[in-house]
Amino acid sequence: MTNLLKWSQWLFNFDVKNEGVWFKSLSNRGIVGWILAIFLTFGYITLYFFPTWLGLGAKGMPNTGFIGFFDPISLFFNGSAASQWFVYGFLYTLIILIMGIKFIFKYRNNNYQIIRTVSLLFFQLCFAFLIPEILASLNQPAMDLKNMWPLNYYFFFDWNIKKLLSSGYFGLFLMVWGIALTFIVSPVLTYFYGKRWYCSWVCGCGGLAETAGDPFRHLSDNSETAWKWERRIIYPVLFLVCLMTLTILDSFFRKNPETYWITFSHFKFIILLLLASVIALGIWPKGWLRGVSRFSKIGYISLAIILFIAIAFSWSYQKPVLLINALKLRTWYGFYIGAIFSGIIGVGFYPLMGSRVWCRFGCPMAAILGIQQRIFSRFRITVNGGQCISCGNCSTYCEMGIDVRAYAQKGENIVRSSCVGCGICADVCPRGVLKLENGPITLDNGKIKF
Amino acid sequence: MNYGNFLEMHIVIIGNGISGVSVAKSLREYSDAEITIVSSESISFFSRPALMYVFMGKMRFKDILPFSPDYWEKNNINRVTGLINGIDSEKQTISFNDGRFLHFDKLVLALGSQPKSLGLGEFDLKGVQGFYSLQDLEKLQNLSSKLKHVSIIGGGLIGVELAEMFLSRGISFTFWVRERVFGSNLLPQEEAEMVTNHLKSKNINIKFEREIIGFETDEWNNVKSVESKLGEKIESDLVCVCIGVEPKVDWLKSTEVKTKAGVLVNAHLQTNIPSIYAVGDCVECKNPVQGRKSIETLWYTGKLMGEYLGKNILNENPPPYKPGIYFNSAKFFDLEYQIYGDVPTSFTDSIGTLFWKHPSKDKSIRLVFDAKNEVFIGCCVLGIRFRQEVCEKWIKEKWKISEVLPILSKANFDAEFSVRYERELLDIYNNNVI
Repeated sequence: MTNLLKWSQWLFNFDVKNEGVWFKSLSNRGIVGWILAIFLTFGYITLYFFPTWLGLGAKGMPNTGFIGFFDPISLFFNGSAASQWFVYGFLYTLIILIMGIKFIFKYRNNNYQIIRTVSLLFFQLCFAFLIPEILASLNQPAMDLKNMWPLNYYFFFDWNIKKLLSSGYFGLFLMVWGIALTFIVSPVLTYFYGKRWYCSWVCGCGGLAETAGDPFRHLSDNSETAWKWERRIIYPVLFLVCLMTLTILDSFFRKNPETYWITFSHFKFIILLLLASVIALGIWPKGWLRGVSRFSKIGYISLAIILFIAIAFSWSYQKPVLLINALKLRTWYGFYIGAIFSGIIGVGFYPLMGSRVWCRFGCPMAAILGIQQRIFSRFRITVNGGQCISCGNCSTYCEMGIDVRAYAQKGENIVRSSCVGCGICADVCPRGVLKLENGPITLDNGKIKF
Repeated sequence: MNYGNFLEMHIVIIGNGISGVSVAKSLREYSDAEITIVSSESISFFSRPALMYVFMGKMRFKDILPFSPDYWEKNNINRVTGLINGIDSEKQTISFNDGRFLHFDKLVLALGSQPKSLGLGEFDLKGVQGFYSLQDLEKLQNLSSKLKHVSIIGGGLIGVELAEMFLSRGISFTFWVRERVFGSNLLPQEEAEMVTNHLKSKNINIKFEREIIGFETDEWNNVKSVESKLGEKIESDLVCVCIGVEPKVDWLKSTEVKTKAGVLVNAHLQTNIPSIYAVGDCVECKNPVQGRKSIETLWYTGKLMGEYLGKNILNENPPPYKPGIYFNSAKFFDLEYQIYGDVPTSFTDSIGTLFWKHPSKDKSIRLVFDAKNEVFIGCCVLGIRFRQEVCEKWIKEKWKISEVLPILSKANFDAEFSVRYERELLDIYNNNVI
């Protein structure tokens, strides 16, 4: 009887929330966890760099083995044999669907979790998988309509721009939509709902982390040291992606200075305007440098000003911006950040460092949305008076490694740039202390006014 | 407030539970005085209500430490381990059982509480324990792989926690409850029955209306079985007695500090000796604030007392301790419970109540008001979350029930997209009035 109970709990873990996660080898960085991590990591490496090992037909040869197995499915969707990227996308979507259903079952008493997960499944299945496949079969540019720059770092690459601009009105629509998504849609939605509208409702990386990564969420380090490293890595990645995009657009415009209605001089003007607004928003006390020490603030601002001057005076039709080799930077970023960081480490390390390694330490999209969330969003996690018992469930199960308890036990609302608003802290809280809110702030220091 | 020059002050706090640590934490915000916390239980402050989650594998012990490890050094708070066995109020020293002494200028007793005994001498037997301290948890963890059957005695919150813990680890147990339903001295009848049904739905072995009259032991004084008044005998190699807690003040009887059931304190939480104070579970207020009990063994009370004392211990004209509107919360398996203000367990003609219960789910809302003038005095919810500030405001400002009901949704604290039930409650009210 005792054994039966034990085994049924092992099997139906998703019924009993998070019980025994620290006892299980899979979820406490035990041997099973390590084996899974190594398997995932090598799986990614093979898929990215040695796809022929998996049976991808080299130089026009037919597929065999593992990839060949997916040929009929690929033929059905887009009329051609499977590529390694088709196999990847197919498996990725399949895993999100299966683990998403498991997630919904586990959190079936919480409507927020159900609706959020259904949204994730919908965007992964339709936007990331089906629509691009259908577009490809119609000979249109296959684009994931929700994947925006800078997460989609090749959106402003010359080949992508050329492809979009040579695909008629539909391509033009995709171009305008992509730019609007980054610069209009996303700030507006983030103002109303916080970055969660993207990170834990729409995004594909988030989709995998929330569903397949759920059994590992407690492995995210919530120490202050981890938070420090988070800021040390994520903002430089954001800087890099901006720089890379700039250099690529620069070489694109210098090659085609008058081909499009945006000329090189227009482009230079837009970039300097953007940079100037970044500087202005940094100097503004409530801007993106809020809460940063005076010393680093001066450092950041002077760096930006130097950059501004360098770009303004050295950049011309003849010379590339900051004399950077665009191609080299692009190859470098695509390899180290695009493949190794977001793919191999991002997913392969789930069983070791938690489900949001990439989202937390690397994703430039998360960095931008995070800055917006901290500066002007209405989203916050409210703390219910003095009810916190400091138990630590919230901090333990925060996938972003936010020490939620540190705020909750002081009765302070939580406004953190990294919070993706998954709502698990509020769900695991045994005393009902936390609530995700984005209603208009009629609160005065968290106190309600009528 | 005038704090004077207290740089040389040494404030010693005995006990590092939530009360003692709250004193230290809030005192540090107001003063540079030297602070030392003494504990015999653990060098690190942990969340006592979270001990159960360590046993269940939801968290590791280090996850239930509310402050980061460098907190103490950063805030210059000394921590000492050891058992205190004497207080010399003349010389202002405390003595440890290993012969050490410590001088204090002001002493804070945050001694906590201890499990109550059935009065059968059961704590002298091997295999009988309460579930209160870190040591209790360690004992349970060491035993957990060998246990055949456990008896849990007592229908309180800790009993339910133990049931949840053993269930999660697949350890079979019998849960003995003296009352007809669970929590009848804690909750109004309808709520008590809901909680009881919730427990029953977990398929746990729970026996109501049972009084334990004796234990059987083997030749080595190990407990073997538990016997109830009805003559049932159930073999148990572990017995957990959790019929409540009482202030842990036995050792103070030999000192000059006056105690009754707990350490007697005045409105400033000061004992009969002016330089000695007490906070938390061990306290017995001589004149409790109206509506509050003289002994409140609650996490929240300990925290409030600690924060008050930390702020006022060096204040020459301290305001009296005022805990504000009563609130508490608990969780019985999956069922969350919150209470604000005054909710009696039984209702007389002078107190009106409005109760709504979900027809199939474990959800209920109860509003309590003065029957004469309809003033809202309290509420409790099961399976639903309410917002503390809002409830407090309504109670403090004496809103009428007819003013509260139309805007009851302001009090809701459930997660987004949750189904809301304010409408149903309003309908019940309207039907009653007409």
